[in-house]
Amino acid sequence: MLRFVGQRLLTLIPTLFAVLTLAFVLVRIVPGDPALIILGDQATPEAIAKFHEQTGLSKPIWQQYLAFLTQLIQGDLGVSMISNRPVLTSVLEVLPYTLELSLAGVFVGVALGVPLGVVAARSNGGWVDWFVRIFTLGGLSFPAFVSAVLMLLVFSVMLGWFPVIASGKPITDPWGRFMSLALPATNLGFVMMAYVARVTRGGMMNVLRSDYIRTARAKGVPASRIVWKHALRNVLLAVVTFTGLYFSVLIGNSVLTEIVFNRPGLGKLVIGALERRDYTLLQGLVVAYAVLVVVVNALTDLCYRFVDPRVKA
Amino acid sequence: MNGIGDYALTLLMVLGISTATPALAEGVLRYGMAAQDLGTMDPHRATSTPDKPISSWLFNGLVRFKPGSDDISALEPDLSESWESNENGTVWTFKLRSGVKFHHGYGELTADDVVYSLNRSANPDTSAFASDYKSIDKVEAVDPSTVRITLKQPIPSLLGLVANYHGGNIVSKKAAEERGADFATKPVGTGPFMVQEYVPQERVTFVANPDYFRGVPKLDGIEYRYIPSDSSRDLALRAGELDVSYGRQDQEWINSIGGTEGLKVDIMRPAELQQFHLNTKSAPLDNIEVRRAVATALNRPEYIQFIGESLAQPAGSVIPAGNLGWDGSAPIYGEGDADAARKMLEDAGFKDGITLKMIQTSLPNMLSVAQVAQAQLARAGINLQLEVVDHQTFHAQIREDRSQVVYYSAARFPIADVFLTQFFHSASIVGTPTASINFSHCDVADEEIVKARSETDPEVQKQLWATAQKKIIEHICAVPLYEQLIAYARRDNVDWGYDLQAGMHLGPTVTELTELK
Repeated sequence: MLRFVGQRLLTLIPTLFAVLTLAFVLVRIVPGDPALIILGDQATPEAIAKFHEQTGLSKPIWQQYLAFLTQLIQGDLGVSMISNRPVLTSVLEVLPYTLELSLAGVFVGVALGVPLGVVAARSNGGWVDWFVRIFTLGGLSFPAFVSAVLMLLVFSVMLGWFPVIASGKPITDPWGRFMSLALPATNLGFVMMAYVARVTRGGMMNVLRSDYIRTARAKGVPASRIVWKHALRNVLLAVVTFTGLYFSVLIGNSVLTEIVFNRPGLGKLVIGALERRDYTLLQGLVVAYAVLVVVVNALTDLCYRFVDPRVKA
Repeated sequence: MNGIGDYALTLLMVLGISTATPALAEGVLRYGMAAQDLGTMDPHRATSTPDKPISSWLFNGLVRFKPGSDDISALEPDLSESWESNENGTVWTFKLRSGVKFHHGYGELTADDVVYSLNRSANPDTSAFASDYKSIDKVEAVDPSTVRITLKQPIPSLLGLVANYHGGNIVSKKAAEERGADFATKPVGTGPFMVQEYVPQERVTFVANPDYFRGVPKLDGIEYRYIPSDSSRDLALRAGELDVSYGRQDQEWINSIGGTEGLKVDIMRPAELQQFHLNTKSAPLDNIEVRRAVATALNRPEYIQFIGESLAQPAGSVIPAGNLGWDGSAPIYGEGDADAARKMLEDAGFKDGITLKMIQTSLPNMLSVAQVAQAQLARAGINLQLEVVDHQTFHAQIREDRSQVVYYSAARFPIADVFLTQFFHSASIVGTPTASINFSHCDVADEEIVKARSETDPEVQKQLWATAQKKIIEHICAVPLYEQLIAYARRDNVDWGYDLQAGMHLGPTVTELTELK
């Protein structure tokens, strides 16, 4: 197992290197200057020059790049150009919120999507199937930021069930934390639910036609047991693959959700860093995202082993 | 299925009951701001709209703008009790109020803190406002409760420099030295509120300062929440999760919030002057007749209709109204006479019209104004080519002198000298070593601007400023379109405790008298 994880981390290095180089160059090519953010729009040329010197921005770009890599190898992501806080601290502070939101989103997506897909497959062509297909089409075609505002309007403003400001509550307040997570996670999971339901339905229809299912039926195994135990297990492999792939998309989608529901998180951090041309923070965030994606892929592979014991790494 | 349905219903009811009343400390003002995160709470570094209001809660100056006012001629005592100056206004002596305590046990305010703070503001390494303090020769502590400021030459308003604004805010010497860069998140001042906690991307919480020299604040504290999404802020306000919220700066929003029961809109100065700067050195704008045609084609009253009358007011000069030295006597082109403009272009030898390049920020409010101008100019055969870029790119590129027309929105310290110097003095021309933000390459009023700066007779000074404005308007370096005020929303139980006409810190000041009724 350890070897497996180690191998995975090794493959991370070239990917990370490429992504980082790209990010490093890109943020510097884009016009704009963090000095104007710090010093204000009335800054004098001397003050700007001084800032560039202090932050190393006056050096040639390759020197900046070397300095950055040297730092990175020592495990140091540097400090934010704008706030002067260590980048690693800023990332780690909000990482739990993004993870929590993404995992909850996946939970909603799978917990709703799989049963919906199974029910639809069983009713194949019937009104339940028809309803599920329309319902999931809604999930696929509704932009997340629109559904987010709608949800807030209905559940928070009109009904008053959930807070509008879903900012992070401390871990010591699990109920508050759950309440502020519920709407954003549902919003995020809604789109995923649609995909999962469709994947499950498709897989289920295939499996239900296979020989071993017919055999089980012939043996007199109850229908629900056939569906939920024998058939579903084989469909789950596809669902796990999909979930793994979709997880990275979900982390990306969480940006909008974080903004509308006003949750702290990596997405909000990225938007802020971009707006303020916080080069160092952006680089740190690219590292964080790359690591996240690789870790999730590794975990997906691990999951295969549990779902299907025949799979060996 | 029934069982699950019942269970869900019960669960929803429980949720409904338990969240109907948000459990929040009474007397805490919940203030929503349109920003991702805090920039800095260091008052000598705070230049952005979301950072500025904080300074006014944490700090004091030697003198202050009356709460709710931006009148620089009506400054009142703050940390100093009294002051006097010599005859030509080059030496100023301030007597400090006694018994003023810094937050978090940092002791009593002394003259040393004032000396340290003003020197800190004048130092470009520690302050964004250093250039404002160039004319200060030295600041000395005469005794623990007396400060003397000596100037190199008289300036328009020394009191403005030591007011509770930008570099005039007084910090604790001991705390600033001890905390260094951390002072940005752990500031120590003498104001009515003090920092309790900063949660990145989320909020800063302030608690009332029990030792505040004007008395214990009526509020228990302030929760300053960062909510970048306009719609989320509005929803939070409607759901009763915010008491005060930074507004959307348009009429539709004002009507919608203003028409909601329990909510009120506050509209305040300072007005930001919305102005088109025309590059007077770039063809074809180097021809004054062409500039006259552009100005004539622009229809200024239309902007006020477009933005809405509550938020927009007419611009009468090339500096914002209300600035000390503002003069609205010179007539400005801009009645939207397309035919006359076309004729002017023809006479100047541009029969087929002209094309002007303009780098434009993608900020929605500003972009729509530029688009209105584009349509107005098109009627006169002037093709305004908008190159729309993101806000930071815009700021970078206009400073590289790459835009023939620059649309800039600004308010400055309310003394004519500041605006005139930055936008219209030749030393400030963009692309030069001393560059500030003179986008028009205007250089016709240098003499008056410099003379007025050290003129001690206020009447003569006013006259010089008036002449400078007249010359700039006649040379058509810039076309002022309109002035835009600031809109905030609040719940109607918020009582500011003063008459809110202006917020020098671009937001309502929360004072010791502010309360939730």
